[in-house]
Amino acid sequence: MKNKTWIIIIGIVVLLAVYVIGVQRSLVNLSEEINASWGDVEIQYQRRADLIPNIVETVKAQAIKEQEIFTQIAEARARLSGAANIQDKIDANAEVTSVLGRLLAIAESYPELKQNQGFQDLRIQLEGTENRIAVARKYYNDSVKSYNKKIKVFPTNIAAGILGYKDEFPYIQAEEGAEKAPEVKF
Amino acid sequence: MKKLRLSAAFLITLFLAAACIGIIGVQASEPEMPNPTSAFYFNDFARVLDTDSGSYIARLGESTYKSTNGGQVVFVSISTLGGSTIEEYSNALFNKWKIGTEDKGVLFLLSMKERESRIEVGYGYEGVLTDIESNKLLVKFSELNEEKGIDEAVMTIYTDICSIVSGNEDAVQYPEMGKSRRYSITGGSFFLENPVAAAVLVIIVLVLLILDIILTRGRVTFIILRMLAASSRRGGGGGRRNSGGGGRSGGGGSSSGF
Repeated sequence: MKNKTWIIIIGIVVLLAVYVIGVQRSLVNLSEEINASWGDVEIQYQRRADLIPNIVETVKAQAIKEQEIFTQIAEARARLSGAANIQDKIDANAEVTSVLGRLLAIAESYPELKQNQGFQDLRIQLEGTENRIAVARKYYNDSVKSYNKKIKVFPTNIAAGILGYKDEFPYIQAEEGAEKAPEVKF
Repeated sequence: MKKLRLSAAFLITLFLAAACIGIIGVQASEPEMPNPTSAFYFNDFARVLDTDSGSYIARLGESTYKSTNGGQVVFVSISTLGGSTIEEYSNALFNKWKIGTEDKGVLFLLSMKERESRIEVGYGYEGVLTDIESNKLLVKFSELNEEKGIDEAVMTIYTDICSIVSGNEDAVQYPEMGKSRRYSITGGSFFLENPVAAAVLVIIVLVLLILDIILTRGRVTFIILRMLAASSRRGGGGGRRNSGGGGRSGGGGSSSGF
C-alpha cells in the first residue's frame, strides 16, 4: 500500500518539475524577444538621430534666425548621447520627438523653407522614420506585455517567482502627436 | 483508500486545468482584415479597376516574383480604412499577408473613401525603395489619376515599383534590421513555441488520463473536455489562398493623399 502512495508523490513531483522547466523555457524566449525588439527600436531611434544634423543645416541655410530651437535641439542630442539604460533612452527620445515637432511647427511660417526640395525630402524621411519608430515601439510593447502576462498570471507566476523573473521592462509611451506624423502634402 | 483517490483526482484536475490554460493560451486579437485573393498580387476590394488592369498586375506580379527570387509587390484597394490610419492598416495588412520572401515585399494600398495612398516597403527592400522614392511615386500617382484615370495610374505606378525592385536587388541599407523578427510575438499556441515541452506534456496528459480512468472512471476528463469545447473558438482560419512568402514590414515607405 505504501509503495502506491510513494509512486503518486514522486509522479507529482516529476510533473511539477517538468512544468517549471517548460515555464522557464518560454520565459527565456519571451525575454529574448524583448531584447530583440528593443534592438529594433534603438535602430529606428538612431536613424532619426542621424537625420537631425541634416534638418538643422537645411533650416539654418535658409537663414532662419530661431536660435532658441537650435539650442533646444542641441540639448536634446546631448541628452541622447548621455542616455545609458532603456528608460533613459526612452525619455531622451521623447524629448527629441517634441523638439522636432516644435521645429516643424516653426518651419510652417517660412514659405521658402517649405518649398525647399531638400527640406521636403527630409520631412518625408522624418515621417517615414517616425512611422518605423511607431511600428518598432508597438512590437516592443507587445513583447513586454506577453512577458508580463506570463510572469503575473496564475499558475506561471509561481514558477516565474521561483526562477527570478521580474517585471522590469518599461513600456514606451506614445508621445502626443508622435502617432500621426505630419502628412506631407505639398 | 477513498481519501487518497479523492486527493489524487483533485490534484489531477488542478494539473490538467493548468496545462489546458497553457495550451489554449491567449488569442491575439486582430483587426478585421481581408484575406488576399487567389491572384495575390491584385486585390481590388473597392472595385475601382477593370479586369484588364487586374490581369496585367497579376501577371507582372508573378514575373517580378520570379525575376527577384521571391520579391512580392502587392496592390490593394479598399473602400475605407474604417478609423485606422493608413499607416496602421497597411502595416497590419502587410504582416498578416506576410508579403515577400526574406522580407522583400512592397504593398501599394489605396483607400478610396479617405483618398489616401500608401506604399509600404518591407525590411528587405528598404534600401532599394526609399521613403523619398515612394513619396515621388505617390505624387506621380495622384497626378496620373487626375490626368488619365485610375486604371492607367495604378498600372503605371505598379510597373514602376516592379522595375525598381527588379533592378536593384542587393542594395539594402540597414541589414541588421528585421533579423530579430523570426519569433511569433502573439500569445499563440504553446505547441508551436515549445515542441519538446509539448511532446512531454502530451505524454503526461495521456498518463493522467489513464490514471483518471482507473481512479474516477473518467469523470475528471469529461468535465475538462466540456470546458475545452466551450472555450476553444479559433478565429480566422483559411491560410489556404495566402501565398505570402513570410515577409514583414518595419513601417518603411510613404503615404500621401490623391
